[in-house]
Amino acid sequence: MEVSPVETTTDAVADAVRRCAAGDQQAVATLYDLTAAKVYGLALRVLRNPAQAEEVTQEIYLEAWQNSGAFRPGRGSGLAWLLTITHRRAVDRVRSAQAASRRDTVYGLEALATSPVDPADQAIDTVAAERVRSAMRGLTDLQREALELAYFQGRTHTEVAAELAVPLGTVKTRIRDGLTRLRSVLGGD
Amino acid sequence: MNDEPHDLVGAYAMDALDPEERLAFEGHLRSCASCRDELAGLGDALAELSADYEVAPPPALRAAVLNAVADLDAPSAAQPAESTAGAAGTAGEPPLPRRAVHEPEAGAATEPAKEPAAAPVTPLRPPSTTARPRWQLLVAAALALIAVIGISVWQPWVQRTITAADVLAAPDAVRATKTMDGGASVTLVRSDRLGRAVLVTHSLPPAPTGKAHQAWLQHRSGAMTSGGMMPSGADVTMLLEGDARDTVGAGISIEPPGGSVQPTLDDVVVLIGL
Repeated sequence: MEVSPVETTTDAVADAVRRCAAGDQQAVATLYDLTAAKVYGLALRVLRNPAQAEEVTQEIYLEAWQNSGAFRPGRGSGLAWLLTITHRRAVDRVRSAQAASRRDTVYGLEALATSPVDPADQAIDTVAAERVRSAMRGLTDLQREALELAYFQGRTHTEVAAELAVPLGTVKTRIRDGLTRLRSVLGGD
Repeated sequence: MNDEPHDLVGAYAMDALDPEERLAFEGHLRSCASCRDELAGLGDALAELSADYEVAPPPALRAAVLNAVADLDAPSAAQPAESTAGAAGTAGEPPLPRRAVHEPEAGAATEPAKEPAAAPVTPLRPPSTTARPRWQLLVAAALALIAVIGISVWQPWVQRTITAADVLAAPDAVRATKTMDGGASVTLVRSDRLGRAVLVTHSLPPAPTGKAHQAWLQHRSGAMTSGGMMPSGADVTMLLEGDARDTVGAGISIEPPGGSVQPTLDDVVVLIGL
């Protein structure tokens, strides 16, 4: 297995996180400027609600500031660390909204579903984005759908299996294989 | 059924596991270096996807974030990375955000409260904003902005309007799951830092007609206090009422719709110890 080289010196996000851990408040501004569009974009993509995405974004930088000491450079990039906590928090919100919508009628997902984010709003046409899209096109339909449902819509793999009408074991391996493939395509250069 | 724990690494990386599976996989991660390596790589791949969903947040958010951070304590965890390399999620636990309530200024507090709005008599201090340093105005503007953006943004870290999601995502959360006859399961998640607990039910059978489920916190003293009436539904995530810091467990009982002061012992559906 290829272990990706530790490029800590070129990882500006990781550097900012480390400065946060050392108590440097200026580093939060740096961290925000480097990553806010990605953090907010991910929260928005998962939550499909700008107000909630703003809340999550604010929570993430507070969490990043307070938990910056938990960042381990050997375990992936600084951006990956930040987006991992962003995704976890956004998905937890989606799921509690789902639970709440069962008792509070329409408040949660249905309200969100009626105000979807316009993809044209969100898609940024950059070389990097085109590279991601082309990598996604390299996946099988099932891999792509599983990834979309799980990562961007916050479904559990059990729900993904039900939605795609395939066995859970298949979803598990497709998700893993799909991510591994993305990693090899995107991480290649 | 080839349920290799390694197969879950992709779903874990994408937060696609149920709470119990997530917990179990985190246990596996602690003992499996190959999964930890793979997870790091998958996290980087997922981060690469971010190139396709960037959206600039509203400009006002930046000031709100920086201001909120400035109001918190410095992170506690300035320790070197290697000292806690083994503990994935628990390292660097932050202190409780210590935050003074914004007291009104001493001068303002002495102002007579009942004075009619008209005819402001002898202001205690000239309203000479020009005399104020510019940074004070900026701080005031930032605070006003935060008020506009929404108290809910502000509170989770400050005045502790805590949601179930906060507890589930808390770095110090501890969990326990009880599986019941018939396959239903109930997971208790508690964060000492937030002082709250959450119950997550899966496939919980409904309460008998005319009755309802009531949640309970079990305290170290042995006392049970109500965590509130549970919404009906088989799959519920519920933030329990009450301070959960000294609790050793939680339970669910069947009670009249208005709830009871103490659980009806014969009708306890499940008890979960932490």
